[in-house]
Amino acid sequence: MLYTQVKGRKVVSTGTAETVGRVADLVIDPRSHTVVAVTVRGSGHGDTVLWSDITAFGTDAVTVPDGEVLKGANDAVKELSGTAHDVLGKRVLTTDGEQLGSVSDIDFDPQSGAVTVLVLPSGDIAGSRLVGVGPYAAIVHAA
Amino acid sequence: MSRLMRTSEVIGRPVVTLNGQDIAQIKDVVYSAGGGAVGGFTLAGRGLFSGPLKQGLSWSAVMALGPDAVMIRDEDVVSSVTGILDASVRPGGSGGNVLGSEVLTDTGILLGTVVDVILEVSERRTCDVVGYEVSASEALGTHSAKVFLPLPDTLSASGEHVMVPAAAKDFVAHDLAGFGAAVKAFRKNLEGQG
Amino acid sequence: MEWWGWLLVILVVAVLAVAAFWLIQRRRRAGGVIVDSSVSPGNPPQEGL
Repeated sequence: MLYTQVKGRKVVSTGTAETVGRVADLVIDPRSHTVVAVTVRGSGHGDTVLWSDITAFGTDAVTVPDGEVLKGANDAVKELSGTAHDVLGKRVLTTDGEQLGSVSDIDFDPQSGAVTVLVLPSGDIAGSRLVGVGPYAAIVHAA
Repeated sequence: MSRLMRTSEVIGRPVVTLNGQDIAQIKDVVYSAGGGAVGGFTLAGRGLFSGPLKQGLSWSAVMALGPDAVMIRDEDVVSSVTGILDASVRPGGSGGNVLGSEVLTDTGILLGTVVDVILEVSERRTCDVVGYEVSASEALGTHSAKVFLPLPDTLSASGEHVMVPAAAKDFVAHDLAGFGAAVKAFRKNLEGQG
Repeated sequence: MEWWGWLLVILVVAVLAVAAFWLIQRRRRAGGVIVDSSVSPGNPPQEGL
């Protein structure tokens, strides 16, 4: 599933059948290269839902048990959020000091949350090569 | 595969941690004139209004010197600048900066001025100065073209002069490709003797 | 001069001061290639120099 397609998707509560918000961003942990949380906008509850609290990531909606799982970001998630840690659009640098381009999209597994591919105009990079993400660049292991 | 690069390209290159932070940029490249080994770098800040930093980066702390960035593990590997620079070299002034130095034969002839320095980074993670790019004087007879002088053909260097033997003008290369071949041949020769 | 004349002067001076500072810092950031003359072929650099 692609990050760019997921932005703006409805987040719906299976308990009340109501839309509780829309997907704003995916919070990625570079060390485990998985999506650990989803930030949600326009909700009456909190702005962050942990991946483990999500029921399913469907092609038309993200389902959660109820709006209560949307909370404020905990410390662990806060550390991984913000533009400094945004992977989409970030310059990609290898551990050999070579710039490969910018991340145009991210492919992730909707079941496990694993980041499988970083899509770049110059070619795809396996998600497992991700080492860290910071304000200047996303670092990946050299091929 | 070892790579040749110009110090003019390395100066100003960002120093990036594995966490994706550009903590500094390269200011000076520090090397020993004897064997050309690069000992490390002095650093400058990255902001629009930042100046030189009090920290330097030892070559041993460099993970990789790539075409777009100098990679380090984390910001803790930078050290105090006095560890990088010898006390007799004064940073800031022309003292010790080989760029702009006159290339002088030991017989007192001016061959030109140093306009760039060529580095070789090998996959064995060594980094050495292998030669100088010289803006030639009339004495070289190349009509102020730029030529390359391999380091082994130089005797010594300071912020004022690079001393070369009188025969050095016979060893100059006229392009980087030819220069690369000359460096390879010289290194092979060294290994054969070593 | 009117009050806005003085304001203009202050703005111009401020811009010039910032530009001068930026140029000075840019010059200070400029690097070179420093040769460490304490080292010679018979006296190789220590690890980490």
